[in-house]
Amino acid sequence: MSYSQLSIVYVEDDPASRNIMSILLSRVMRCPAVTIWEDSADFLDKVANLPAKPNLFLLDIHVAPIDGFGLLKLLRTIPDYDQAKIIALTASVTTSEVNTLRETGFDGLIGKPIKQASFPTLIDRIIAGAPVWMVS
Amino acid sequence: MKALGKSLLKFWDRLTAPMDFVPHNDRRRARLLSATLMVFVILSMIVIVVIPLVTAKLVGTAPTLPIDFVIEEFVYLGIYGLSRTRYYRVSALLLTVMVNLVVWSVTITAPNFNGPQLLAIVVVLAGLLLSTRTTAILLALNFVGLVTGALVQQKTNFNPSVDFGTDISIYILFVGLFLIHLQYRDLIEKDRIVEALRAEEQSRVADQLRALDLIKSRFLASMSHELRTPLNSILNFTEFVLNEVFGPVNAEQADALRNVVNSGDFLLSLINDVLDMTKIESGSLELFIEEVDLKDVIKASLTTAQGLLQGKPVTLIENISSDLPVISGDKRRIQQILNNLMSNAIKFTAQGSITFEAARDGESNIRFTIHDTGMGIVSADQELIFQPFRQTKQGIQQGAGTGLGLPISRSLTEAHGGKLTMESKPGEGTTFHVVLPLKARTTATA
Repeated sequence: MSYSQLSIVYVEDDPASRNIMSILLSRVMRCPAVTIWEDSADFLDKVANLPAKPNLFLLDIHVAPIDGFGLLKLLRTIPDYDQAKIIALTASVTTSEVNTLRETGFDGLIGKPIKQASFPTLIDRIIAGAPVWMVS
Repeated sequence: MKALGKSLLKFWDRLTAPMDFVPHNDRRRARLLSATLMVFVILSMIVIVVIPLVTAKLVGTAPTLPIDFVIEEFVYLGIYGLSRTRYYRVSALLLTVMVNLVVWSVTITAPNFNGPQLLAIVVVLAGLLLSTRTTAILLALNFVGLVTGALVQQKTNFNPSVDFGTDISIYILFVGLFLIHLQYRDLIEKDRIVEALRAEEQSRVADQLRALDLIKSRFLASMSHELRTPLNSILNFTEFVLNEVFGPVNAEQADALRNVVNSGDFLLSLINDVLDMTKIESGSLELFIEEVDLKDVIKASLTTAQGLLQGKPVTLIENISSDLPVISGDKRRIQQILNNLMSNAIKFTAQGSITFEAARDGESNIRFTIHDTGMGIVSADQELIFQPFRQTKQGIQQGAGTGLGLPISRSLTEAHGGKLTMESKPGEGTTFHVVLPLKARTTATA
């Protein structure tokens, strides 16, 4: 799968992080389908209404009204997103927080600050189905 | 003279030691023994006092039972059971044997000699030497009872039984044993209360420590989160500009931006190292053990190293065994150890080479060797560099590094059940060895 086949949804409350990911995914990596939301209101409805079915979710943990763990749980109830990869993208990366992410069933973690040099490689590995637990 | 005074004082201390000097774990046994002894004494009272009285009433003559000695044996048993240390017990047993020998020989050689009285003196002396305060008093009373009874019997016509003295001494023995029994019961109860209070106190302190630990963990987690979020902006926006995402930058601008990125990276590694060190020091370092393909880890480490080496006249020599096994360990932590050692080697090697070796080490270990031709470390500094926040003079001059990399690497290696060692000659270079078990024997505690 190349980036052109990726449909990415990113939920993030921090404006700077949204800005960075938008530039990185759309301008640097040239992913065509990148959707970024600042909150998780009406999450499943909004996801269902997207033109391309998302296959990669990047979720910040501290989002409102439903946090990253809640969003993961919601997505796991919908068979449509069985094949989608759900990755936590967060600055909460102490060992116990990472363990919680693993236990709740995230497919991986990309810790903040994001490393631009390795970010595309991480996405490649995620697409290939490899577990990625990257704490920068 | 002084020494004699001292030893007399010591003897007096022992003599007057209260009962609670009996060790806690001996008290239950002592109580059981005093109870058993009471039963024996009651049985003896029946044999010595009741049976002769009844037979005298019925038949007219009382039988003389050679049972007096048995009582004294009980006393020795009592001393044995109630004594404070093994020394006293051994002495009690020895005395029992010796006194029996004496009594037997007296009975054989001088049948008319009053045995029990002689014996009582020995018993009292032994009791004084061997017992706690209460047993000493008891034995003294026992002796007094024996003598008084015998005297009363001799001087007056009052003669209720065959051997009035023995009777009285047995009553006293019984009362004394009962008192001892009560004392032990109280002591055991006191022990139980003290124990319960101590346990309560301990669990209260443990609760407080847990609460404090939780506060600390939360603080560290939130500090880490709050620092990483702005660093994400600083590093990434700078890199966008540096990578000319927003348009061209000139060489001078690029240089300035690279400085920002490097400083940001350093700040990030400082945050990571401080968090790791806190975990290590509080013993809460946890490994995430999984199957680790070492080829991946080594490749990642060497790629990072190549990046750091750019522009330096240093060659990177790889000597990686082709039969590297998949091991069980914490992938991220093993990566961290290798990256730390490689970046150290690069930092302190101005020219020459850095050799990275990885191979099996015996049946159950894997060995990484990182050898450089750098400035080396004087032997005085070779242990210092494994202490937190300590660096060599050269390290401080280099300006980069927190002084935490090596202590963390060593702790991470040891948490896997492995070993991190080094050897170095100033001016010739340094070699670090990391030996990891194929299956991590995790020593980390939660």
